[in-house]
Amino acid sequence: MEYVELLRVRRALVSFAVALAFVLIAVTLVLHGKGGFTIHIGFGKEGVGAGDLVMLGGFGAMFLAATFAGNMPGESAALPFLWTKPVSRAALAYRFVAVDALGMAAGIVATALAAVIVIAGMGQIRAIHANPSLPGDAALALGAPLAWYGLTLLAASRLQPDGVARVGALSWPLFIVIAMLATVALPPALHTFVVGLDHLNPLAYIAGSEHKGIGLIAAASPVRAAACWTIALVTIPAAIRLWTAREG
Amino acid sequence: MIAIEGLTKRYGTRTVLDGVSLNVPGGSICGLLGRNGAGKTTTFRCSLRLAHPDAGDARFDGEPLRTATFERLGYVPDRPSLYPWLTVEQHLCLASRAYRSYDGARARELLATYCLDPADKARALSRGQETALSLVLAFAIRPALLLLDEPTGGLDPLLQRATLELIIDAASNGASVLFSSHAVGQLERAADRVAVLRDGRVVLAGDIEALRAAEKIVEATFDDGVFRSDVPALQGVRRWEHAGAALRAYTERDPDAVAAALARAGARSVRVLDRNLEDLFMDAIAGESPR
Repeated sequence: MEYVELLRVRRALVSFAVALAFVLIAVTLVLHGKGGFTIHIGFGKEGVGAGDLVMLGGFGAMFLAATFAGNMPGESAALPFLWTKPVSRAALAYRFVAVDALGMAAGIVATALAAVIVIAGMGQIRAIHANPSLPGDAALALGAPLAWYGLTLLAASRLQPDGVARVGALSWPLFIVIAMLATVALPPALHTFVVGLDHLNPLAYIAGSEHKGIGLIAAASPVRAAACWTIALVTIPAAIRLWTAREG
Repeated sequence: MIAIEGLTKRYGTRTVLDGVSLNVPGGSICGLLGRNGAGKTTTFRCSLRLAHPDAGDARFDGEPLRTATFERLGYVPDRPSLYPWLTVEQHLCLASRAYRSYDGARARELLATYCLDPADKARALSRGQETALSLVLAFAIRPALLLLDEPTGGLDPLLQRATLELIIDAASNGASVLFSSHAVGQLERAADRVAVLRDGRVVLAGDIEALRAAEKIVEATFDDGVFRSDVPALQGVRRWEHAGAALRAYTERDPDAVAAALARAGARSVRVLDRNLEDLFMDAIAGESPR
């Protein structure tokens, strides 16, 4: 039954690729002065770490995560069809998640590739190099969208399609607002609460760094990746449990 | 064999099913009748665990419902449950991946029977075509168990007949079929058993022929259409019914004696009739007010 999800993810990836292509064309035109102005970018001696490109891919994949998380709970109208097939509900759900995770990984690759094309277009391809943090960055680049996906899936797992769409759409502003609120001066109790919430915020992890930053989680990428994967590994099975126990 | 035992379902304080039990042996078609809201769809949904029953259970070939049961179970819900954005062909592809028992050649035959275009998206299908696609998907696995909740909804008369033939054919090959419909005539044609639901309870169940034979109707026509005062005194008449100049007596024993008595009372013509399924149904729900 993952066939439905494969078709749906394929459709979402095509739309994502089209959007990326537009961005790519716009960036290329601007970089080559076609927009009436020219931007000169130099990467200096440090060049561009492959890990940074992968992290950029992680941002791209988070757009897909918000979309994919609505797919399974949005199935409610088709549940009598889906749940009367010789596949257990849990197996069905995990296959859906596996397909979605593959879709997010494809989103990371596509976004990173688009960035490489832009850099190559600038004649700076040699500036790209493998950096030591690449494995941790790669784990974070997939972990953050998975955490996003898990949190959204958990919030939407018992909702009807209208509610599911709302949860997916609200996830972006919600995570941005939480990250922003964590930076502003609030009464101590509220600040503690917001900072606590920020520790469940995938955006804060992927946008964070090793250095202390405002509103963002400061830790090495493997630590931030571990936090994101933990969120994903807790929320996804919980969401599946709720989904499989609902009425069809 | 489908065996439903004591199914009970409550939504808040409202009891939708109240201890529903019925059996459908292999090779049998059981018609499930009831007014709107009587609990027919909930019986299907609870049997298939699409809704969680508060009590009771459904067993299929002696076993509780398991994932593997669906390998030989075809279900057509009352409202077609399809993916609007998938084509007819993609729905078949989905079924072919899900079932080991899926028969592609059979599915093609059924598509032709129901005049469905494989390239059409489900969202472009009419209500009848959606039902038809649900039927194709249910019958393409040659199921041994069939749960059909109003499977002729929206179909034209020819396709309704084709569907009844499919159902009868499945039962003649040994399938157990539970089939709900408001078209009593269809059920009368296809079913050999019936269960009537009223307010979530089974108020009548059994073999249709036996139920029909249990009581006869003696219909007498009087010239003046006047109801004779001595007629109701007849023994063994459970109920009298007027229909214009005709008087109908429902009797469980010795209809010939009732017929003779009516003839003696001055009836112009007297005939003994079998009850049809509609009579059984109307009797079972007698006293219910119109909703």
